[in-house]
Amino acid sequence: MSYFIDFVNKYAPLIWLSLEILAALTGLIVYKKYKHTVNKYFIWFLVYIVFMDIIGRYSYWVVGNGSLNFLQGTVLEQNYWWFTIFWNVASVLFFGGYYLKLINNKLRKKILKISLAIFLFISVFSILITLPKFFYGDINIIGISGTVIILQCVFYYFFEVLQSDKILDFYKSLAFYISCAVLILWLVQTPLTFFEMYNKAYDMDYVNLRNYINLLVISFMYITYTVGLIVSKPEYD
Amino acid sequence: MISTVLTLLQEVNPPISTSAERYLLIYMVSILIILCGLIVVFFVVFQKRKNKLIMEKIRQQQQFEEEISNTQVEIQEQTLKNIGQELHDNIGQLLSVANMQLSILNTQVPEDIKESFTETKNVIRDSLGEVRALSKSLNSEVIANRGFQLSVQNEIERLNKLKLLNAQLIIEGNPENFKNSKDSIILFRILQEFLSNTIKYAKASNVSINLNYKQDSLEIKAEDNGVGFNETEIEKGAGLINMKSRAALIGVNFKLSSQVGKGTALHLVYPFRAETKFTL
Repeated sequence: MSYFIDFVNKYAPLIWLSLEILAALTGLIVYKKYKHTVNKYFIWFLVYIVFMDIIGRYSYWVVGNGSLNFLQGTVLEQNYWWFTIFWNVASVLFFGGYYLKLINNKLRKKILKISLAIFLFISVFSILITLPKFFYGDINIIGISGTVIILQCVFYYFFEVLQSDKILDFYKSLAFYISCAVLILWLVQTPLTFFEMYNKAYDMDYVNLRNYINLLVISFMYITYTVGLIVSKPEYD
Repeated sequence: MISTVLTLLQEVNPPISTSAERYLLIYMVSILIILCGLIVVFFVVFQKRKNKLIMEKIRQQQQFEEEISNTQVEIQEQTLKNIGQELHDNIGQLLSVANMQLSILNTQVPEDIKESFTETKNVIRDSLGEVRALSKSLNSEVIANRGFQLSVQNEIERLNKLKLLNAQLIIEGNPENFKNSKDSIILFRILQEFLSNTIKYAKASNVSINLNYKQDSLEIKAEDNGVGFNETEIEKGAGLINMKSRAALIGVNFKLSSQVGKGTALHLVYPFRAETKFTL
């Protein structure tokens, strides 16, 4: 059991990085299939995630005698700020845009656009007023309002699928797989933000649990993307 | 006072998660995953249900169309039967009375017009035979009673007698394999339509029909050496559409091919089947 815990703690980031690369590579291989659909933006997004994640790991080289140790003591010592901007905010904005292209109903589109604007405002505002925290931890309000946006997107999409004939072939549509994956990821990761204060080295019980949960949902998300990219038919979106 | 003590304590002992909190987190995560699973299950069930409804609708539509084409065939057969009966009972009777009277008159005819008289009498006798043959080929009951092959033979003989073209019939295999009299009417009508088109449009001098009775199917090949037509350009008339819909009605594999200047060929494969409820 302890071996398993060690393994997960040691290799979890590596596992999900390889799953990210797997999803992005699959996307590039089947890119031709989706060239004329909105899903090509999603494939670019997958590639973006890989680079974003790799660059975000710069903090590994900051500690000790790493090649980036000149950052020690500066606000950039930890990578919270990077993931807040380029994952928590950017990915929600991306999915907002992606679903804006998928959804046809004008009223829902309008609500979604307004929500995105509010989200952007909240993000910038909360970063500014809690300023030093931006570099030393996650900002809860960004995670929660991002979840609200993602829930909106997914539920609007599901509504449209249920109301139209798309329901007959929903399992051939990439957007359905994406929706399931992001729904689970954001729903499950949001409660973790409230427990973030326990994410310290002296509370290993929580740290391990957090790692399992993250490993579970992140692997699930990228595997779903990969499967979705392979089995979907572009004409069903 | 109390709050300052609490803050001090917290700074000394940083907060550690209790197992209750961790179990709550596990519980919450599992609930959320189960809920997402339920959404997917809901989608699958909804999709199955909707698919079933649509399939049912399509089936009803198909049934309705089949019913309509059945009715069409029924009406057509009824009309042809009436015409056949009229030909046989009215015109046929009149012609045979005329024939009889001419036979009686035969003795009183002066020698000088005897020859042309006999000729007229022969024409009337031939017309009588013609009308009877035609009425037989029109009446579906007669076709059903005589069987498919005899009816086709009758039709071929009729065409040859009319001297419009040279028709021949080739039969292979055992005709006893084919017993379904109702389907035989429809097959015969398809062939009849093909032959009448050959006479009307093809300007053919030869037409041959090949019936090949196999163990479980009947293969029919009909070919003429007429002018043919361009398959892509021809306008699908009532005749062709009728032939196709009749073929579909009894599960016949229907193929009509033609090239300009090279004649027209009809290829039918009819898998034998038991008598149906289809009524005429």
